[in-house]
Amino acid sequence: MPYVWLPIALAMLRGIEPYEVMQALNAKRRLPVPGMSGTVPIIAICARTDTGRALAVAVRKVGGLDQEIVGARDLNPEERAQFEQWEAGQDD
Amino acid sequence: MTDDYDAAQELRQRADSAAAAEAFARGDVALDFAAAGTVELPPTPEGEVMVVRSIRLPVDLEVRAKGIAEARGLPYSVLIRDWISEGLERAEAGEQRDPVTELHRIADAAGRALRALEGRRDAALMPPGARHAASRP
Repeated sequence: MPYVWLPIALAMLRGIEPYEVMQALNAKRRLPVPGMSGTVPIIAICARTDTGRALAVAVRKVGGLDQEIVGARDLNPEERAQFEQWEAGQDD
Repeated sequence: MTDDYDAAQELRQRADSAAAAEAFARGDVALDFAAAGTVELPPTPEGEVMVVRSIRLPVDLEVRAKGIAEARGLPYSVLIRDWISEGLERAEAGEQRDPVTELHRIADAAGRALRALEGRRDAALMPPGARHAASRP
């Protein structure tokens, strides 16, 4: 599926490199979490980079085809705890 | 009518995405971990991830560039990407264009185009029998 960066999301990315976002999007274990970014529904793909950094990558499906990346950030401690709990229940 | 509706719908969706990106950047985002896993997991990315960027062009540039894309049988966006890529390579290589070299390059390209056109014209003017004979080894 084609993913596209919104220029504004790329410009506002802080402390995270685009390649880390790609690593998270390609991770084997990815947890989709629904959410709201402002008033807009998004899906946050929670996953780890190759170095183990836990990220939430917010995406939206647009035009029936593209997944737009609207932002990425580190999971906060509470989110990370829930993510780790989910990870612990996964089989490899 | 349907195309117009689809285009308008997509524009609205992209405007919503921009609003979502701004909200995300200012930290106005709430994730519902209680509902984690209840939504469909988007598939992994295929190929290179692109950035969708709109640019304003004078109509003349737009028409000329589209004409070239059609003549080369390329999607418009591919042609524009190629040109940006070429421009970047030159800029990053710190190439200083020598006007004399540049004129030679243009003259060579014009000469090749002229020879190709002359060849086509001569072939078109040749009588069918002569054309057949001329094509024999």
